[in-house]
Amino acid sequence: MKARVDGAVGHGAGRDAWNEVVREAGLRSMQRHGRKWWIGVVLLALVVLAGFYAWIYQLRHGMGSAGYNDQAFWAVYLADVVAFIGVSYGGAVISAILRLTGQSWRAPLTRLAEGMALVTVLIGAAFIFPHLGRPERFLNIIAYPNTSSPLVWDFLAIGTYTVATIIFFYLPLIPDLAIVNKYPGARGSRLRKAIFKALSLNWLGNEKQRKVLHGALTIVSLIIVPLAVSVHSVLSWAFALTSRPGWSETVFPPYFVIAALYSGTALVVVTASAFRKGYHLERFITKRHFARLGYLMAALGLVYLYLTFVDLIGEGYTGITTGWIQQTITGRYALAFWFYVVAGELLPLVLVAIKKTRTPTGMTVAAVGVVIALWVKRMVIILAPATQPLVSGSWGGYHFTWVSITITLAGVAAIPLGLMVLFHFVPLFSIDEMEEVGYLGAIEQVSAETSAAIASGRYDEVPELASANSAADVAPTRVAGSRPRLRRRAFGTGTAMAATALMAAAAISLFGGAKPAGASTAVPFRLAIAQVTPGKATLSLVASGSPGQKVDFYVQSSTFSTGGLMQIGSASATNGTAEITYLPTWTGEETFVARALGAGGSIAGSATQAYKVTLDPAGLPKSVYEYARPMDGVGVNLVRTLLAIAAAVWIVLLGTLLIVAVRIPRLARR
Amino acid sequence: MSWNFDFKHAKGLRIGEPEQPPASCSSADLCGLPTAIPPEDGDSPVSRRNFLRLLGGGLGTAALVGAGAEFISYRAWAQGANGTTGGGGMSGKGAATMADTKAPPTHQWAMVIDLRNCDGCGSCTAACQKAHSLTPDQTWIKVFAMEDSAGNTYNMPRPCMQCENPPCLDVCPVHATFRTDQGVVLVNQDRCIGCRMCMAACPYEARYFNWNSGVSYPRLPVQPTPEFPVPQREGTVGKCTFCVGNLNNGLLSECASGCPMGAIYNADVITDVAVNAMGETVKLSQYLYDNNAVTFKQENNTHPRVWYILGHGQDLDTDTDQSTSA
Ligand code: SF4
Ligand code: SF4
Repeated sequence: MKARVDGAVGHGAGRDAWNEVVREAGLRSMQRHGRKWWIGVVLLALVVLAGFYAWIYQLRHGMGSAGYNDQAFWAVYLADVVAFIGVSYGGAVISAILRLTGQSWRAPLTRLAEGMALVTVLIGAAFIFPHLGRPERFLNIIAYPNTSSPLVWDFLAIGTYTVATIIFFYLPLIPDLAIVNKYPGARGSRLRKAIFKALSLNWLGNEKQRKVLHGALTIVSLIIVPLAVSVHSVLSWAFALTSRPGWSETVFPPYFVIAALYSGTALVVVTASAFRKGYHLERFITKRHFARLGYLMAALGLVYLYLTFVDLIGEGYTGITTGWIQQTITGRYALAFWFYVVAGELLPLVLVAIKKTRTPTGMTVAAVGVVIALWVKRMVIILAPATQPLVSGSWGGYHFTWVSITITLAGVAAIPLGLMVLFHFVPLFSIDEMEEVGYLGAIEQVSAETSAAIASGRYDEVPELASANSAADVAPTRVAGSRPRLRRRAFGTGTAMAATALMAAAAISLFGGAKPAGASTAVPFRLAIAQVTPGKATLSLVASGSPGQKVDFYVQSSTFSTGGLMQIGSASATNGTAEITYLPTWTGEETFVARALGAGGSIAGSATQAYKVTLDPAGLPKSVYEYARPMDGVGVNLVRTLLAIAAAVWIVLLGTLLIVAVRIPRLARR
Repeated sequence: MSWNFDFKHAKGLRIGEPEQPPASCSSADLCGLPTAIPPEDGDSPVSRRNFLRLLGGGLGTAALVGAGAEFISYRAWAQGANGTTGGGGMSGKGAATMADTKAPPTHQWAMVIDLRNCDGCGSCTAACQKAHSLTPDQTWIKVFAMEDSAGNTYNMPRPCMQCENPPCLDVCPVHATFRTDQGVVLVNQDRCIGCRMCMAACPYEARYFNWNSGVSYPRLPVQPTPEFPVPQREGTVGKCTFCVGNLNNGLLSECASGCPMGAIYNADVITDVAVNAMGETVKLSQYLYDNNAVTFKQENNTHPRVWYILGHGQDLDTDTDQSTSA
């Protein structure tokens, strides 16, 4: 292939020069970082940490502290899940489609898009945890899955998609890992080199290896598109499979899919723009890239606008259940809705339409508008139907609190943080692809002199590879000037990043250790308490008593009984003691009372004992009811079919990975 | 906003009329009673589960659910046979098979709310909240001020409808919501993950989440169970349980016994009785039939176990609810 490329262009030396330019640029993000980078990372990490603090606060104080209530039972965290996984989809699909259609101009963008997809899907999935009232029971979805619930399928779809995204990120990385390890300017810790070596699978870049990798990438690209469609359809069905007006809409699955694509494309633009500025990649990510992404964004925006209209017109026209529509258009959510229309539709359309603003800056502004507006739109889609009164009465409302704002901002901050950290470890565009298709793309685009400049290695003379009408945001000289500074140092010795320690397991140790407390009364009649197995929910109460004497046991309770004593059992004494076993319901200090009864029911003796009860939830008694088996609820054949499809996807994904991992090293030996 | 009961559908209540015992009816005395349920005349709405099952049957090899299955009588269906598996009595296997393998339950709890007697005092809500140690927001039975299409106002207590085809049960990802063989939909708060999917799915706003910790609960010497989920577990969802523990012990539910007007009747479909706090005992099927009882939001195909007798409090001799203009 290499020969073919060279043959086609006919400049062997130019080829090498181009490769050199590409390698230097691709590795910029991996060089020693300037102060700005560090400040950025620290600030972002602080925001993320603040988010974790807020989450812990929420765990301790309940979800009410995040502004939730019974009429706004779904709100910001679900909007975050939808929005983050949505942008991820955009990144992955753009990259997949550009690959499948063989667009050579994609080369400098794919890695950024795939990296963005990877980072955001992880963040999006993490938002499920603050969304749940009982995050520590999350795995119940696997333990007791109800296959008629859309959430179970959500779980499966998101899980599958996450794995696919990781593979989709890894495969194109293989050649680069080899390149990085061989590149003389790249120094890294030994550990990193070893990991890269293992992961690069002996990549030499020969024709056969390329063929295998290319085939694998095609398969994964083909899979990731319908996979992402399924993720967003299932996500939308969490809404659309309820009977709630405003959610129970046929249009929802495509509505969500397009929203994901639209916001994802926008975030690709923002990411590309940020890295372009940050690492001076103006020469590679050109005005033309932004214009093309802008067109794509505009087209998706129009489709989304259309679907929004479709969503509103049906019920709006018939007037059957218009409450949520009124609230959306003119009511309490109107400001948010019209913000979406202006910032998420009109602004980007105008900026794309006018040639003067179809610049990188213009497109970035449009994209930022789209990303924010689509998050706002998700909030409207979720809140308007959620807060509507279904029986009668008044509208509910969601009110942001510092907890939900902080957690959401932490998610937002985690995107750049994740990307900065990610691209500290890997090149920020696919060097290999740039060397191959990027070269072609470059040659396609430039004039004869430019190509001659590239060919002869005078790459400082290469102008921006697109029509450079506007020099406003292109500064080749600055690039040239700044390059030595960036290159001056090679890698630091693996300074620890502010680790995004995502998803600390919600280990809520509910209960402490057992601790008997209090002294027995002075009465000879005594009461002793022991937790039979510490942590388990059984208490053994033993009171002294003469043989045959009846002893009543009580626990102090403010609810049911007068005098605060609630009987929990009685026993006759044998061998000098009376004993009962008691299942406590509450952890913490309880006061127990034993009364020995004399003749005629008179109280012959009484003893009081405080005891700190500790419980392990596992020790609680189980419900007597049987529950549905996993396949109950919907047609078992539908479930089997869907599971078979999911299994097939997993097999293909992992099988592809396996084939790559086995065959590529083998092909290197031959 | 005005909400109507659909009188047309009220005719679907063929209570008291003799019915042909359907083929699947296992014991004669359980058949031929309230057929309040749409499956009739072949134009019944397709239930979610049926729909999915049909879809699944089409995709796979299972036989499509034939018309015979649709004609399972209400009583046979209500006596349920497999209510415990949470499938609402009709999942996976044919109801007839299940009826053969399991002893029928002796009760199928229901409720009748006579709106002619409701003055909107909210005693039911207060009694429920006290018994279950709920926060003021958690109105498991809530009295809504309603308005019908003629502009009349009336009060409507809304408990959980204990739907026979409960959407909340269908969407719960972990089977934390289940239906007992007595036809009561309960929540296992030790399993609930707090996703609130059920709150989204319930058409009656009957579900309430435990949002805040720091609510002080009483210390009770009994374990919280799905039937008596007190204290509520934080981060999980709760709702009306029909006080099924009371019912099984021969007591009225808290709301029924708390209602000074006797507007709330506890009822049993199988023994066909309804009782209120005034000690009025009626034959359920006859009472529903005589009074044109309806269920709320029949179009949702949830088949509530709570029947309403429409009215504007006229039995209370008040004129506040009769006004059509003000
Ligand atoms: S909140 Fe609990 S009961 Fe409701 S759907 Fe989720 S897990 Fe089931
Ligand atoms: S009324 Fe709501 S909570 Fe009760 S069973 Fe029906 S859907 Fe479930």
